[in-house]
Order: sequence, then C-alpha cells, then structure tokens
Amino acid sequence: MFLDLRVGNLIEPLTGRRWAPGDTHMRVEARVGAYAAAGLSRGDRVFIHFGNCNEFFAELLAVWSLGACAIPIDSRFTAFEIETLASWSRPKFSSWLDAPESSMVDALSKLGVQVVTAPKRVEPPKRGGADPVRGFALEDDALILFTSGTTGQPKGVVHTHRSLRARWVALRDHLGLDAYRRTLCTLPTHFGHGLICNALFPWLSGQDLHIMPPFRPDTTARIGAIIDEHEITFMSSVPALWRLALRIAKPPEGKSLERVFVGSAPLSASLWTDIQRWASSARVMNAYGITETGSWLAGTTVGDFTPEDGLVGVPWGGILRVLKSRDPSIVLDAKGACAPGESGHVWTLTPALMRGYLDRDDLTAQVVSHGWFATGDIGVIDERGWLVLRGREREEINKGGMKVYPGDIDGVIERFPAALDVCAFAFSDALLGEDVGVAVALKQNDDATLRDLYSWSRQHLAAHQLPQRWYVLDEIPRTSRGKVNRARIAEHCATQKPVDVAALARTVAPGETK
Amino acid sequence: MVRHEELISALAGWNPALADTVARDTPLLTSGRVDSIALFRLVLWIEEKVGRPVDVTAIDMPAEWDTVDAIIAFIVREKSR
Repeated sequence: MFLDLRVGNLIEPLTGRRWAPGDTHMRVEARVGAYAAAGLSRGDRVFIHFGNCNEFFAELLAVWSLGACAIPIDSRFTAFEIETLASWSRPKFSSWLDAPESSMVDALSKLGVQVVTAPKRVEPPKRGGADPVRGFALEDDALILFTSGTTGQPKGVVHTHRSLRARWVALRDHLGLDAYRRTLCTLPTHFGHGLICNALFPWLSGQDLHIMPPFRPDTTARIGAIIDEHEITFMSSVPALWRLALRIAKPPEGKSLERVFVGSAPLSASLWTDIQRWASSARVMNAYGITETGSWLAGTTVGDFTPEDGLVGVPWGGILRVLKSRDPSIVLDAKGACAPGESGHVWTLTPALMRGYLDRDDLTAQVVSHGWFATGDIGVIDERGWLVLRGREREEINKGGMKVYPGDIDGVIERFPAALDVCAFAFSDALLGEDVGVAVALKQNDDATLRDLYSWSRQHLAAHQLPQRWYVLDEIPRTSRGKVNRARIAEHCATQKPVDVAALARTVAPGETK
Repeated sequence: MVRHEELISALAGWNPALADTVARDTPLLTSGRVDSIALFRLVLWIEEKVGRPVDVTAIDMPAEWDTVDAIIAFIVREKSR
C-alpha cells in the first residue's frame, strides 16, 4: 500500500466530471509519454500551475512516474513571483492548463524553462513505442512546496517519496480509512494541508476524492447541499472558511458527514462548537499540521473532549515534546522537557519530516536538530498528555490559514525607489484572524508617491500578501542592533489612523489621466 | 440611497484586483471574482445598508447577488420590506 499507489475515483462536483481509476491511468500514461518525449527524466523538476481539478492529479502522478519532482504553483502568483521561484528552483518544465501570456513564456524560456500546455483531452497512448524509463527511489525528491520568500529568497519545503509515504501510512494507522471513503477537498492543492493530507492521503489509498475550486463563495454558500448530493463523509478546511460557511450556508440535511477537520490556523472553542452544531452528524477535530512535517501531525483523536482554545490532542505517527529551549544545538533530552502544564517550545520527531529547505541549509539548521523539528509553536502538554497550543514564535501572519511572511512584504517595498524603511506586521481581523498591515517611511509623502507605492506593491505581491492597512511614519523605530520589533510597531500603528492607499490609488490626480 | 459606485469602490477595497474590472453587470460570485473573504465583507456591508441582519441562508446568493445591479436591487427591496 502507498508504494504501488491505488487511486480512487476523482470527482469534480461543480462540473460533474468523474474519472474512474482507469480514466486517471489513461491520462497519466498519455502525460508520461508526452513528458518522456520532451525529455523529462529522473531528478528534473516541473512547475504545475493549475490545481483543484482532475488534470492536476494526473499531472502529479505522471511527473512522479518518471522520477521527477512536482512543484505546485499558486495560480495567484504574479509574474515576478513565478520568475523568482523559477530562478531559484530551476524547473525543466512549466505546465499550464491554459497557455500563459507570451511575456510569461518569454521570461521562463530565458531561464531555460520549457513551457508546456497540458491538453484538456488526451488520446489513449499508442502501443508499440519505446517504453519510457520510469520509477523513482524513496529518497528522491517528490514535492516542493514554497511557503515564503516568493519575492526574494524562496523557502521551498522539499518532501521525498519516503517522507510523504510516512505521513500517509501514519494517518492510515491513526485515523483509518473508512471515514475518508468520500472525501471533499475545498482547499488549494498548492499547499500541504490541502494537497498532502486532505486530497492525496485518501485518494492514493483508493478512496473517492471530490475536488472543488478553493475558496469560491458560491460553492461555500452551497456546501451543505454539495455534502448531501455527494454523500460526503469527510472534509477539512480552515477557520476563516468556516466563519463564512456558518454565516451563509445551510447545514447538510443528510447524515453522511462523519468527520470534519479544521486546521492551518488557531481554532477557538466557540468556533469549534459552532462547527459541531452545523455539522451535527460529524465528529469535528482540530488537525495540527505544518508543511515541513507533511501537514497533519496531531489532532483531537482523544475520545470524548470539550472544545477549548488551542486544544490539539495527540500525535499521529510521531513524538511531540514541549521543551524549555528553542536552541537547535542542544541535545534533546529529558532534562530539557517542560513539566505537564508548563509552557514551552513544541518540537516533534516524525519520519514524515521534510528533507530540508531547497538550497537553504542555513534555514534547515535553524529548525532541525538531531532529527527533531522545531515547530515554531508555543504550547503545553497537559495532565492528560494532550498538546494545547498557546501561541507561536514564528514570524508569520496567518491570514485565514494562508501564511504571509512579513519579510517577503518588506523585501518588495524596500525596493520601491522612494522607500526609506518598511515594516510589515499582523493586525487582528474578525474574519481572518490576522491580516497584513505595513508601516513605511518614504522620501516623499505626497499622494503621487503613495499611488506609485500601491501600484508597485500590487505588481510585485500576490493579492493575499497585499497590505490592507498602510501607515506612513517619519521613521521605523529599530532596536540598537538595527532590528525591527514588529509587535511594537503594530501596537504603535494601532493608535494611528491608516492611510487609505487603495482609495487613493483609485483617484486621479490633477493633470493625470487614468 | 445606495449608489452603485459606492459598492464598486467597496469591492475594490476588499480585493484590489477588482479595481478596474467590475462594471454594474459583471458577474461577481459565479465568475469567482469575489472570493470568500470579500463575500464575508459584502454580507456585512449589505446588512449595514439594509439596517438589519439578513438571513443569507434563505436566499439563492449566486443568483441574487451576482452583479452590482442585482445587489443594489436586493438592498432596495429589503429596505422596503
């Protein structure tokens, strides 16, 4: 199991398309033939620019069949981000479902990347040709997921076939398969939670996968009806989507839903209880995962429990420890462990751990020590032996489950010609949990400069990275060592009135034409 | 009186990509232009204009809220009830 992948049915509820395993196999074979003829071979890398559709999964298996490594790309990335990622990871192919703009093709071609368009329909492969060289070793790279640095130095989490299979085997052993027989995935397939766990874990073990476009409001409004129509037994999502679904979607009328996971962002007890009420037939669990650990690492498979803020539960296929130190150079031993109820740094030991960050040994060394991984979260192991999260030390903004790294935003705005200094930070948002704010110091504070700054940021940042609140300061306070204290700057900005840069950008200055 | 331009401006604030692409008859929900996050903000915006909570689960949202024209008509209708 999982070594000889046995796929289930693939269903697109919105289009009605349904691929039986034989349909998927035919598509994979056709794509293997096309890729082999174009020169793809073991160790190469392939960007896949489309997701959340049947073709994506066939493309993934075709790439793997030839021993190559797949890199799913967020379709919202700007051309600048795609070029940055291509420069860093040097893919041999860039695969699109619809042909990209010629400027994109030119830019990728200059980097030595061959752009291919995956056809919507394929013919069964002809017999008699030379069979391409297939296969991979378990230690080969299988998947690279970029989690940050798309505007500067990318941070790509590299998973091997071994680490992915370790995750799937662990999930099967701890969760079983029965509840996943008709799984719904509404999460993006370019990030770990959606791809590795919500989609591939059930599908590659023969369960049916219903795949939908991510975060579409019209489908969120109909999610209860879709669950009923397809007798969905399992789905996973993020807190922000649940806040919306609870507001706009009728609950399912049937009782098919057996299990619901919520992950990728802190889950409050009150939201947890509301989801339980909405999905009344299902057991609702918090699933704690990190891309570096192949996502779902632990969760609330603990028997009876009452929802509480930060409750995670028990590990799935690994060890969780709360330690006093975050220092990766220490030898992890019992003397460093926190007592039950004592707050500390959450570390894990799991066979599903990434190989490392792509060409960033420096970053890998900061989080991996003696095989243990520093999750970047603060938590406690309580007297029941359950993990409860209390906060985090990672410098990231969790925007409704999408991780935004303030350094990426700083990196773009710093390059704006009139920028003197910049500091991006998180602010609280009722829907998303957190959203992106930014403080800037500029050479000129006039409207034209602010309009140009907004235009520059829109051009270089993905939409979800674009700051929603802008503050113009005379200078950005720094410590004596020249570092910014983001929390302190966020506190300061909370007392100021933000500049509505977006509205300003929509106005036309005297003498200007739009 | 709620103006169409006010809604278009609000939509652009929630999603900058909409700034130059939304007209009064542009499909918003069924085209995917308005994402889930913007929809949540839209619900709150409509409730503010109507002056009371709206039972969103009772309406066919993709049909009744798919364009700026349709949303403004919805608000006018709800305010007169």
